[in-house]
Amino acid sequence: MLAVKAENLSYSYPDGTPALQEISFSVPEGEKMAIVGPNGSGKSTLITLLNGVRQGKGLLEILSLSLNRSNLPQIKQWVGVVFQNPDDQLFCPTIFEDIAFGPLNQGLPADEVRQRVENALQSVGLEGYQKRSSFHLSFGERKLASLATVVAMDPRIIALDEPTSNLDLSHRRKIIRWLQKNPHTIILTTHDLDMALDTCQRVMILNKGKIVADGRSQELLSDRMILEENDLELPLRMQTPHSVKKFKSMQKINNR
Amino acid sequence: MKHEFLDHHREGNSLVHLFDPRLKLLMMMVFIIMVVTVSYERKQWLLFYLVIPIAFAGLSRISILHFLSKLFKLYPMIFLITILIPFFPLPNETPRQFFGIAISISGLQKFFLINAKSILVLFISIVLTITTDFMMLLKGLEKLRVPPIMTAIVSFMYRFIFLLIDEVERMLMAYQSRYLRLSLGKRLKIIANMIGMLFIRTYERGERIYLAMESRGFQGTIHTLNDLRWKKTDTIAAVIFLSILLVPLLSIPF
Ligand SMILES: Nc1ncnc2c1ncn2[C@@H]1O[C@H](COP(=O)(O)OP(=O)(O)O)[C@@H](O)[C@H]1O
Ligand SMILES: [Mg+2]
Repeated sequence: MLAVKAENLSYSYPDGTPALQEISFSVPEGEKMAIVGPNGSGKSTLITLLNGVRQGKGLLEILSLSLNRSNLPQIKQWVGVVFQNPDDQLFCPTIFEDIAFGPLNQGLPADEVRQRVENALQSVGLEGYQKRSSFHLSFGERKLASLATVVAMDPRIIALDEPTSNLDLSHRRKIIRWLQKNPHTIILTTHDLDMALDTCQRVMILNKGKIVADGRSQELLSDRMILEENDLELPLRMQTPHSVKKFKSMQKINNR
Repeated sequence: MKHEFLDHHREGNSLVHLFDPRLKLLMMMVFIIMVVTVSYERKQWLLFYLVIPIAFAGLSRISILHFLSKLFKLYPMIFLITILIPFFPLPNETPRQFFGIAISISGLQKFFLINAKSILVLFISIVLTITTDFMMLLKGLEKLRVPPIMTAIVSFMYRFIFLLIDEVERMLMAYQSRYLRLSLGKRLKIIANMIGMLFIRTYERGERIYLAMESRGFQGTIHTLNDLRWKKTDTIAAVIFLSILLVPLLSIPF
């Protein structure tokens, strides 16, 4: 089944900014796709369209259900969105309330909610954080907690906006591992092309609200021409032996 | 984070910590009403009422110094607000002269009464809020039928006020690092701009939070797991508390 199917999907902000222009793509269930592109190309906008918090023009189907008013609660349950800034996603006094927020809105009974919170925290490696307040956590921990708020809703598709931006290396690696072992359909946006290469088999390049390329990540992310046309750079791993050598010698200097 | 306002005393297992938050809120309200209605003729009652916050403080097994330090941080404000009262005599009162300064006796009495009452009210509020988990306090308010919108506002404030302060600090830093010396007019203009920026940023953050709430199924009502249980000890505590509070009334002749 197709997890997402978009046809001629457009979105303009109320002030008239055309953020997405007639884009069409589909994502089969279980696939992991990275959306890349320069700033302002419409990546974040596309993420918010996926579960209907913003509604565009054109066709959008989630798991064969077309997005409309009556399907909205179901679609919000299916598509979990992890926003870029964890401070926007964690708005309750404690982590427990933050993670319980979604399941409680789904009308689940108390015991089930508690179980969901515990499982979600475990899945991101934050066991025992229930009573902590998010403003006492590090940015990395907050990012993991914001993943947990979505995991707890038991979604079938997870959409993440720049999951590794601003993270230190250890938390970046944690997120990469979490994404790799996750069985869900995943759609993420990123500037971290190495992460995209590690976690997603497919890459879509967005520029000025249009899809300019869509293909297997191994191929697209080694295509220097197309990357540079879109203000992107080859992932470190894909760079030529010459530049890798340069990088290695730089590392040596740093290690001394 | 650097904002150290949430102290670790909220988590404890003394008797006072375990009281139901509703009990604490109700005791606080009753106590405040009793204290505020004491007249100057019965000022000695206030001294008696001091027993109650002291008893709570003792039961909480937190050092009394901790409470006093909080009290002395809050109290000066009240002192400053009331300091002028003794200098304003009633219309038909002749002020007394102390070292050449005219002082109204009724004003002095009022000053004394307000300050004593404030100290009592502050004291009990500090004792009961320091020993209560913030989430529990909110749940208690919710159960006492405070409108959910109010508890939601308090809850958001608790979460975001420090984020806002951080933002102000960052803006001030950016401003100070670019400007050396400016005329007052220019400075005011920049500050006005900053306030405007802050307003817009806060507004945008609010919008993003709303999106995040909506995308997790928010439909206008905030649901919480409210699992407060009124215990037998709460009832006993309420009875003891009320009896102590009523003791001074026995001194009134029928
Ligand atoms: N709330 C908004 N109001 C108006 N325009 C916006 C808003 N958010 C984003 N935009 C505009 O929409 C376009 C796409 O933005 P965005 O989806 O955030 O891009 P990306 O995430 O790829 O950097 C940009 O031109 C941006 O300026
Ligand atoms: Mg973005």
